[in-house]
Amino acid sequence: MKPAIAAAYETPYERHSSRTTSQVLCDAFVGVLERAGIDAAQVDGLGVSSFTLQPDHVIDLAWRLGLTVRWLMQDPLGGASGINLVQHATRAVEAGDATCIVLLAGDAMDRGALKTVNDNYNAAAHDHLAPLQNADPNALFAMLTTRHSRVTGLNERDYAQIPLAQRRWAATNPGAAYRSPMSIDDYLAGRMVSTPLRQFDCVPVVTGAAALVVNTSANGVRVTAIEAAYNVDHQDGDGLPTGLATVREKFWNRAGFGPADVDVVGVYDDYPVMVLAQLADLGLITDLERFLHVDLARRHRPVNTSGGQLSAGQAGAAGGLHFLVEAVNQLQGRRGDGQVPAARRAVVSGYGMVLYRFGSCANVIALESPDG
Amino acid sequence: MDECAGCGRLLFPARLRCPNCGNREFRRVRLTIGIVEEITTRPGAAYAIATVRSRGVAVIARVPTTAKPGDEVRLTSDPQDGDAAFVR
Repeated sequence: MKPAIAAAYETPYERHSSRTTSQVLCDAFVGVLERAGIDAAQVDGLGVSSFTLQPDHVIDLAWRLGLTVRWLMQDPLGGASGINLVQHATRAVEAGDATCIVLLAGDAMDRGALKTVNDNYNAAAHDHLAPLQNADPNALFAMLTTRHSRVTGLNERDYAQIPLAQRRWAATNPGAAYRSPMSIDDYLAGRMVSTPLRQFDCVPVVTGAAALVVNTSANGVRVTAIEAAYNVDHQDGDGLPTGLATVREKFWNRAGFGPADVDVVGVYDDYPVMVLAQLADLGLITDLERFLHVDLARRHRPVNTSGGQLSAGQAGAAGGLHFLVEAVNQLQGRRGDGQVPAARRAVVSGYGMVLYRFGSCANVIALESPDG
Repeated sequence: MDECAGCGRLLFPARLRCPNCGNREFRRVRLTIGIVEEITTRPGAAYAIATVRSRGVAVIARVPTTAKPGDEVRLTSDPQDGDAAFVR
């Protein structure tokens, strides 16, 4: 059976929410079924990614959602989780192991919950980073930005173009945490977080969840390629490039279209520098300065059209599905004021899982609307 | 830091198998000096965070806020030693 993504849904992203992790995951579950026009009784597979679901696991979630299923998956890969879940779910549907899979990702997050997640991210973070105080992802990606800047010659006003462009898109996303217009002066007035990163280079922490339905719908969004690259350098390099550079050629060969044919791009944006790194690794940009100051401003290359996590917010593991939800909504013409005209083809990349100094996981997916 | 008993590769944090030769035996070696590569500071913090390279291996360390890229720093595992680069 040919797998497809029938529908995508995301709850509003809220700061200082009273909702729990399982409540927002349920909100996303109900929302995506309604959008797909599917009854819960048809669901025979469930996948979830969440940092704060414990002590529950995916089977507890199935039970509490009232589901009897024959396929389950729980994914811990953060910013790479969404594409990893879709990779496995599409294969499961293709193989006949399930016919209708709901994929969920989300967290109830605040500053306290985020610090707990960061300090206990893995043994290396717990043993070697947490004891230093402040050696959190903000500090690690601040130093990565400094390395990138040294190689590329970009300055703070160049990097600022990413959060500024995404904020313009966020105005069209009613679920985004930050929607008000932001000027370069507003950006530069943001408090210094960890030099050279300022407030608006870091994602606002929010509560929310995202969901996809993977089934065999003829009208669904088709997946034409998925490639992944995990632990490509054993943390020995400088964190630039990402693993995407190692799979670029294979990915475009399988996608059935090339960088020039892509209408919408979603790139995991834990920090602005990583947006540039992934786009460059995928061959989607060649001239960084031109991209930042011309293409982004004129929307020649629509990137992170939801506002991305930098404006919409990071609801923990929901960030791994966030860009897939946006891409599917764009390809289904559901993006209202933020709709990219005649969007047919999308590329989304995932990135994350800092082992010690930088992210170790990268993956990328090519999506096509059913009328190609 | 761990030194692979098979190929001599230095590894930090510790691994279960050497990614270079697959060996599972390691010798503990003590590194005492490194060079600051990048540094990041945050307002009001008593210390900065730095990438420090020692014998080719990059480690994340807590350093004095006065440290600069290119500085040679002493490495310590003692959090009370505020003048050195503290690596846990």
